Amino acid sequence: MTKNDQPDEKQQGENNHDIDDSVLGTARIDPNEFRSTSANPDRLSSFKYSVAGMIYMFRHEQSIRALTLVTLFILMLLLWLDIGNVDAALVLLSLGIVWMGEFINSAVEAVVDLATDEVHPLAKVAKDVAASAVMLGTFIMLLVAVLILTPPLLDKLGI
Amino acid sequence: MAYRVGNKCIVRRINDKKDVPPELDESVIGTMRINPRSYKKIWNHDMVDRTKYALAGLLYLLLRERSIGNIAKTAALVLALSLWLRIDLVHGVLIFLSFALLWTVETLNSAIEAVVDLVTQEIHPMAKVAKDVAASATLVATITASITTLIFIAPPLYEKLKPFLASP
Repeated sequence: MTKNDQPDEKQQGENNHDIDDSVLGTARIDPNEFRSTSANPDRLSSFKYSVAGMIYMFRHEQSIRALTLVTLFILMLLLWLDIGNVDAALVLLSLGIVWMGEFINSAVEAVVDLATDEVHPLAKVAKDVAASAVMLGTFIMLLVAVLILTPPLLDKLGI
Repeated sequence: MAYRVGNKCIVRRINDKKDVPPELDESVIGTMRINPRSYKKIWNHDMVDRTKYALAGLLYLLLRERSIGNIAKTAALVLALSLWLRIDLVHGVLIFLSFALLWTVETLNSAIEAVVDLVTQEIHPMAKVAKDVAASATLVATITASITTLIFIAPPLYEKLKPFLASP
């Protein structure tokens, strides 16, 4: 890493957007100026697109099907063992984190595929890091589920 | 080429040899060997900068994004309800966590939308996939937050409203 301390005005001029670098600068940017499509007109169309994304995920993602099975299994366990509200909410929240990670991961993958067709190290970094977010969420979900579900399960089975 | 702007961020030109596709190391530690700084034009190297940009993003969301405002309103309503019903501290913390999850996903959704708009101006199927899937992540988080809130708010609310409901 060589750091050259001399500013080079010519290269800075390549950027044709003036970026306001203050804290309020980001809020002054109007996203509609840069969009090819307009923003969603109402809440119903936002909802429509999120359902469309969900159908896409169920159709094309293997991991979502496995996750659905795991979720149904855990939900059935939750109903079968009558555990407390707090425990059920903790398991549900950790499941929600895994689902959310899976969706964000797929979105990042789609963005990377959209951005470039080439093989690029940064594309690899983006996809790998997004995947490891899902993995971390899954580990934590499994840990929470095992910690909460094991004692009542053992009680129920009479061990 | 790398140079400084002010004394805050370091600007660096993207690698000139763009046409040659770089060889990817597909092993487990291959990703670790990639240095992101050699591909970035700007990066934040101190805590003050990072905090500043995080605050800037938050301000942007509050002013420009309608759904963040909706979440803020809903969160205020739920907070008022839970104070009125005097629910347990643990229950309140769980509701708070689910709303934090929802807020995080909404933020990531906006970030992904911005990246998509940055990458292409055309209408492209993968742009639709990216935006729709990110939107459904917020749907999932909304469902989680609603279930968590219902679990803890509905029973005490029913108890509180029982005298009014059973009057006729």
